Amino acid sequence: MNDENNTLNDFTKYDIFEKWKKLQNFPTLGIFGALTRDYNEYVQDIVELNQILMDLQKYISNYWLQMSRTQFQAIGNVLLKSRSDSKMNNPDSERFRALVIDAFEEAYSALFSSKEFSVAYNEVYSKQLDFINYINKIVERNLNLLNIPTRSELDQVLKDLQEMKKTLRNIKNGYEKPARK
Amino acid sequence: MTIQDKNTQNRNQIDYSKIAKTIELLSRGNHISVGDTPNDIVYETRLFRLLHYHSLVKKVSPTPILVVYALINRSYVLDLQPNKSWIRHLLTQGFDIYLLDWKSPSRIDKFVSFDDYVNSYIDDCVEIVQNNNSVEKITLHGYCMGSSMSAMYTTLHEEKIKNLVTIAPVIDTSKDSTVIANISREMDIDKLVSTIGILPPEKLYECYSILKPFKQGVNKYFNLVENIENESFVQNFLRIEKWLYDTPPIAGETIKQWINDIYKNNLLFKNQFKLGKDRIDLKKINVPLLNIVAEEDHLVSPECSVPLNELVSSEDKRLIRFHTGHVGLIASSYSQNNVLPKVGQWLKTRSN
Repeated sequence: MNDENNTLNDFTKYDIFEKWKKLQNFPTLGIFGALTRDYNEYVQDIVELNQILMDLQKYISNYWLQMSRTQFQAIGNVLLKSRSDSKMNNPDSERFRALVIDAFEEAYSALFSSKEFSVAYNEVYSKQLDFINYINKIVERNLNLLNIPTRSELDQVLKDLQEMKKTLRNIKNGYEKPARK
Repeated sequence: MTIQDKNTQNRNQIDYSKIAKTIELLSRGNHISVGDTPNDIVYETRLFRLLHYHSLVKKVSPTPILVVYALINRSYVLDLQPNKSWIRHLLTQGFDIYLLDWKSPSRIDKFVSFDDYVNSYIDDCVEIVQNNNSVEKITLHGYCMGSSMSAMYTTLHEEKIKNLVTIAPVIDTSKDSTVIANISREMDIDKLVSTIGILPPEKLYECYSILKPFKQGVNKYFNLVENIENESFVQNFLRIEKWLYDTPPIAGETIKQWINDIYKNNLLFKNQFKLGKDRIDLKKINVPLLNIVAEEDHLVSPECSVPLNELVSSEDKRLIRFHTGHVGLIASSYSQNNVLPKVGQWLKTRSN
């Protein structure tokens, strides 16, 4: 896992993606600028998606690091508790099961209640959303090319509809309620 | 070998037939009936149903009760099985019960907000109940998120409410120390909603799975194997499992307000929460209030619910704490024997 993290850190350290983006934004780059102009956009997408996936990998590693650490802690608790429990000399599966569950519950509940875990969990999810968002962006661009309504356009329609429903309800209440009185 | 040793040896022997029976039962899926108390659907839209339960006694209280369920999981937990049914118990005590049963919003409901839930859907149901029973005021009774919505509604439409009964309302989230509250505070809900449009049920299952991961998440299956021959235990297990894994998504705008305004900024407690143009000021509540909290609630801390009694202006207000959990409060033998008799007693003196 350390090697993997080092590789990820190297990418961050040397800012490879940022440098690539700068290069891509050059107005011209000799003949290459002209020859690559049409597919620059697609290359850019691949670069962005890679960057998101690498960040995601980093956050997933951190998440699983916390989970694995807790697992070791829980196993340690089982060993400690079974040693200190004198009745454990007489093997009793039910008692041992209760001990294991208690030890794991204690360790994992502490982890799940910690701020460190909440942050790690949400970092992973946030990056997954970034990935979906980017895919959405690509889909929207293609829908535009095909002259099909995009999701953001549909969202606007939905928002307007919801507002219209409210307005309609207020108008309806305005004349129904005084009539009821 | 002593008798104790023999007992231990017996316990250690694995009964493979019980394991096989458990696997077979779980693989069949949870086809089990819930919500069996007879009722009529009085009103139905794409997002909710209003159920009216058939009376179980001759003399019925003149003030009807509208139960507002939460937007998380399904309302049949209030009528899970006849001997643990919150609804049935209230019916046998002579109350006229309506239940607001939320349906699943879809992606097209992205912009449905608390304003719609409270000022449109709950208000529509209150008016139907008023008209059905020819009464001016009703008792509003919420559970969990439904309690918070009932409190919001009462601040804006108190003229229609006779009593307010809340169970585990989410009010002061700064004091909520549960795992869900911690996760919510760190969640980038704006990004989630703009990307997906709704809060998908899978997100809620993830949150449930980390609540009591081993004591409930794992141990329950061991208990099931041990009790697989006990029909009543198995039925109860399957009903709760069905309910746990039956949750609708939550509309985008609604969950945004819930996380950002209520959990992150604690606006409901600060009396700054807004529904459309209206500000929710809990001080405006003057009706009799019964607030019920569970001491062992690991979904909504009791410290989060209790402040409602301090915030309202009602002179007639009561807080009752029970030694049980969030679900135990409404769907358990404990609730039937300890919680419901007290709720009924409180309501009876205020429902004529």
